[in-house]
Amino acid sequence: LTCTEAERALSAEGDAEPELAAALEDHLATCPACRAEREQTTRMVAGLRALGGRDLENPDAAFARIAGALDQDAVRRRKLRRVGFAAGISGTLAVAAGFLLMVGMRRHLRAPSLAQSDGATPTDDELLSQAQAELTAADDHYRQAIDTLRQIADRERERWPRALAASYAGDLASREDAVDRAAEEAAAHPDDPSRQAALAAAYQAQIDFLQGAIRDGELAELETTP
Amino acid sequence: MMHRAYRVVRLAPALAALWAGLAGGGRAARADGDVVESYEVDLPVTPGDRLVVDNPLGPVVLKAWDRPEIRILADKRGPSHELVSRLRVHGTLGDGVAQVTTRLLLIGPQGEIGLPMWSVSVALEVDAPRGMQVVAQTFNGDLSADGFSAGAALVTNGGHVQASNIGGDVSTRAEDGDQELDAIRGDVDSVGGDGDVDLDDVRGQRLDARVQGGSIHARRVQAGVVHLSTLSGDITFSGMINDGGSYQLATYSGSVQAQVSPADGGFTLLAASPSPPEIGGVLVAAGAQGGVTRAVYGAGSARMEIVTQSGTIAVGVVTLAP
Repeated sequence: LTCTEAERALSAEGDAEPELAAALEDHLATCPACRAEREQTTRMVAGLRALGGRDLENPDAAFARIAGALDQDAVRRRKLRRVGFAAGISGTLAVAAGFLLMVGMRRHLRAPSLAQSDGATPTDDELLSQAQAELTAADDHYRQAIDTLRQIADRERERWPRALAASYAGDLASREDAVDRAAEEAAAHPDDPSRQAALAAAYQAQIDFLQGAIRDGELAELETTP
Repeated sequence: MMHRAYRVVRLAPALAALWAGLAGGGRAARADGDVVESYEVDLPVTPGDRLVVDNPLGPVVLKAWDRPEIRILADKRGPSHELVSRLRVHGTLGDGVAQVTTRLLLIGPQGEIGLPMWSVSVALEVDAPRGMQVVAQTFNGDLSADGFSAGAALVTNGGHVQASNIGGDVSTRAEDGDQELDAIRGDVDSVGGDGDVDLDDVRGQRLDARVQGGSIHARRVQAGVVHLSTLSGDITFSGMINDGGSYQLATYSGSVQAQVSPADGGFTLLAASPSPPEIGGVLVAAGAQGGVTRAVYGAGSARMEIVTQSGTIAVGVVTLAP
């Protein structure tokens, strides 16, 4: 499994097929990051259970309480970034990233049923689960795109002119900081559509930057030719 | 066969500042087991206004016409009448912007949400004055715009993008879908994740297209600055080379074919690829240095740079009959 696949499997842990569960265990045995993810998830589930059902109707409050109980901020930020970004993809929507967070939390409490009876009206939970699945898939797509571009750029920059490689490193760091800041803002204000849109824009800007850097690196050889 | 009925709403200007919640009263039909309800709204607008459409629940078709109003046709689809009745199409008008959004009303305290869900959909078709600048986004739905004269910005996550017969600058973005742009009279900026970009009959000052996984095909291009780049895919380019122009075609993993018609000032070609580039027509190869092939046509006024890490390069020159 890749880390992304493992993360998905973690969210369905307990309901996973035996083959997937075995593959997940194999991955966890060799991946400290995903092991940490599972530990945090376990703690979050415990926190949610302690909250009971009422706070789930107010996801912001629920999250604040759980987040306060977690001491590994990076994990919290990563989860929120995904939620916030997913909401941001839908642009100016006043989406409640909190709704998604709530859905995400509920996924750990009980496995949602995405199936519905023929002709029956899906419940709110089922509809939100559908949305969560759509947004998570899109978010994964973006993050995988960034990962791929990063790998290529990191590999190729050894061939780039020194000035370009140095500029790339500096700009990349500042752009990653910008994404982190946008993620924090989005996490702190999940109901603010402008902050969600800003986070989406930050991700897209990072993709554009990486694509541009790779292209410039390819063309650098020609630039010095009269 | 599906029978479609429309509820037609006409709003007087005084009432047009806000219309909302086309949520009931439409006549319904069943299609493929789903309930489909169709609604139509006509709204007077100023042709110079901007039209902003945000439909996370389905596709958007934008068509220009020569009437001073917009017409919104919404097809709402879902597994039951009850659920379809909770699909909402909202609009606001003010400050020179006509905005159309779609939402689903949940039963619970969350209220309305605008998120993609496969159980329900809203397909929007909007006719709008030709002079409106259009901005539209969907989530997984396709997007198309045709006939507008003040530019267009189209963004979708998982759908296809089509823009045709557009005057003014056009920007498009599709993270996972193909893009087709045809008959554009203005600058073009197209960004793609996975998907091809097809450009035909583009005339502007600048054409910029970049994708991560997909090919770029650009035909009948007239622009002074052309930058086409892809990480994994081929690039084909045919068009004019303007005097003093800049043309960059770069693919990390793919091949490049270019067929160009240079202006009087000619152009200089610089090409880098694992194998020597094929240079046809009357382009004169001027030598290779450090893996870069240099060729010159005429006075070499414009500059064309082509690079591929793993594919081939072929360049031909077509001279126009006097």
